[in-house]
Amino acid sequence: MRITNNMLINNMVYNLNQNLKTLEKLQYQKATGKKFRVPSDDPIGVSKSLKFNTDIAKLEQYKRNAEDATSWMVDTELALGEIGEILKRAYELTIDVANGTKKAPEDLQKVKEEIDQLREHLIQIGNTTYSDRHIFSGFKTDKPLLKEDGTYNIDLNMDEIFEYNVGISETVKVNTPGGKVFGRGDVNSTPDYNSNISENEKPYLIAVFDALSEELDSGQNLDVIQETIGKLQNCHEQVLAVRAEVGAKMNRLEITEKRIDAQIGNVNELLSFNEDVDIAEISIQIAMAENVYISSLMVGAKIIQPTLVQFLT
Amino acid sequence: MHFGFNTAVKGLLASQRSLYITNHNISNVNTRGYTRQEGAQRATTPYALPGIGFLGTGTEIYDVSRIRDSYLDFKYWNENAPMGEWEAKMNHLSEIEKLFGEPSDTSFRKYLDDFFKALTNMSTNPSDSSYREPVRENALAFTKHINEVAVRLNELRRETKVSMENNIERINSIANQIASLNRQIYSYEISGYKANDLRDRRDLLVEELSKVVNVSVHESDDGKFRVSISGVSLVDHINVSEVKLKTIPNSDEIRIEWGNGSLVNLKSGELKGLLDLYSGDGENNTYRGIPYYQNRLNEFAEGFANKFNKKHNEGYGLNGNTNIDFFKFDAEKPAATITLSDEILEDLKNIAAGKAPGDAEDNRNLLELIGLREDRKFFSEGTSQGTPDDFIKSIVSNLAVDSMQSERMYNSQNMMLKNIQTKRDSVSGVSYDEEMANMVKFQHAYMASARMINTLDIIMDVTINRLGLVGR
Repeated sequence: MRITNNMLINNMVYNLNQNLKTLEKLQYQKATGKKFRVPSDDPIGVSKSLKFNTDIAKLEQYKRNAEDATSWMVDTELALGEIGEILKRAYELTIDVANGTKKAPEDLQKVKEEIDQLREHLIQIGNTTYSDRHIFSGFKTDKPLLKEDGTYNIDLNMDEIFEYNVGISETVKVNTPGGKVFGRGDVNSTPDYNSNISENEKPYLIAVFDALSEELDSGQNLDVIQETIGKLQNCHEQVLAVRAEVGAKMNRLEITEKRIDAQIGNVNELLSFNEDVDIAEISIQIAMAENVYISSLMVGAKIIQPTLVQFLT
Repeated sequence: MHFGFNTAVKGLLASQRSLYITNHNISNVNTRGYTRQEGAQRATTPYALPGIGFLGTGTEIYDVSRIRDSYLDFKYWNENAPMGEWEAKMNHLSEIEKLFGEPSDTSFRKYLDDFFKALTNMSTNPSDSSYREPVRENALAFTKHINEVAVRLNELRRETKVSMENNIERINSIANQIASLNRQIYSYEISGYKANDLRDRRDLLVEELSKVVNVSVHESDDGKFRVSISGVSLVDHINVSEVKLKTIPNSDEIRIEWGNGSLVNLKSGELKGLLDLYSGDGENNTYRGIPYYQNRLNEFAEGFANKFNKKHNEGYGLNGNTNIDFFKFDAEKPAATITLSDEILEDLKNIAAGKAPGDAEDNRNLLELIGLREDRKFFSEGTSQGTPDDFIKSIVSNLAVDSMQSERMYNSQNMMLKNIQTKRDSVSGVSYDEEMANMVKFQHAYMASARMINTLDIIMDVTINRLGLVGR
């Protein structure tokens, strides 16, 4: 084949260009650490990345939700614990009275006062808030559960339980409606912890305290006080049961959080595998591409320069 | 005696002319489209000497011709058109790819992620307006992104139209230049010789044209040159039929027509590429051009808004309002106009989180809204089905595959052209070495002829001045 000077030049320019293109691509990859910059670089890879990134975003949000749910439950548990303490104290006092260790009217008055205090405290706890939301009020977190006089402040359906997403179609029930703890029903009947509550009803727990206080005030019918001991014990058991439920949910959440962490790790790994370049490998490739580029420059300089023109005088 | 002089002078002139040709070649070594020229030399008619034979009378340059392989031209022009087509497609598709912004932090996916993240976050505290605010802001960012992509797609489409107009102008201008060159070449070549440099110019124009539109070229035996697009003459000797861009009234469709209103049948070329991009909506086997992506985006915006609104309508806001739309859009152009409804913009409380009126912490409807993202029947009609993410993914994948294909086609076409170009250079290009060698060759021949004149001069000197003294 006949070779002309412009052929050589064109070829050299073309090859230099190709080498530069390779070099540019590799350098971009190294600089960004990513294998592709537009979908057409790797259609399948990009659509995978799309999914992985979304997965990570979702998982991170699930984790946040789980954390939020946990802190809500921690507060619920603290409140339940306090109710337990109150019940324990009331129980002790009532036992003292029943045993006859406190017989003097002024002692009884003191006991009554403390019982009244405990009752007030119960109401406070019933209206506990978690970042300004009343935790026992079901969906009506903007309203307190109990009025100052101890009656229910709101209508509360027992299914007013809100859920947080902690996974794709995986939710966790977060709140505990106050009825589960405070109950409803007359002081002399069996408490009802599972039916809906209407406003102005008196909670069973408060009713027990009220009855006790009244009894201490009016005189001392030991039988009534004996009965109250049993009632207080029952209430305490209910609180413990609810507490156990919350604890179990917290355990589950903890496991869920750990699992989400592991999943985030996995997806990140997949994502990285999918779109991250191996820095060591890319560095070697760049070094190679640079060598090729430099040698093509050198060859070009040699090839282009001499023609017969230089040797004719 | 003069016989020898004549022969020597002929040799002198032939060498001189060959040197001029060499000179011309060297001068034009970097001229685009230049074809190296070669003088054709032959011995002049011999002189018959009876009883002796034929005595040579010297030499002459009887023709100067281009060294060119017309098959390679034919190949080049044929392959140039697809290259133009795929180059246009490649450039525009990569622009659309950047519009969709995948993979990056300004992609659809990211905006959708953020929106749903805000929703999910709100579901943990629907009563708090500081959790509602991000929902509105992220939803707004999401719709703004759709708007922007829609607007930019529209602009891109307008730009392709402008490019087409430019290309049409170029076709007509080149056609007119070719016609006037035809006239010149034809009148020069009446003498029977080829107008080499003018032909180079004409070939270069055809080459330029062949990138814009698929052309075929025919030269009749009597030297009339015809350039046609899919069988219809663009230039017929000195006549030009111009092409024009026609906008169909009351629509955004366009046609590329001949002067008489019939459609130009484009097979390839930059113009075809641009036309495909401008009007290809991917239906009925047409190319997936800009309208395709516009339609898909509209489909997405409309479908997403409707589905989301439907579920949102079922819920109750903090004030107990229900039947509220979350998004609104103009049905004519959903993607360009989608935004949040006035109710949502005016009052954050109108985000319908609850399933029943009045309960602050009720997030059941919100959870269902969030669940929509996993709904495999979210998009159940139309071209791609599945979740919103599936929909976006299918747009991006289509784009990626098309863009990759256009790049591959462009590269292979480019490679092919490069090969043909190399072959053409090999045949027609000027080689310094060759020209230098020729120069030396012709210079020597010239010197030898001059020396011959010198010799004849001496002979004549002897004959005239030194032979005897008769006549002095």
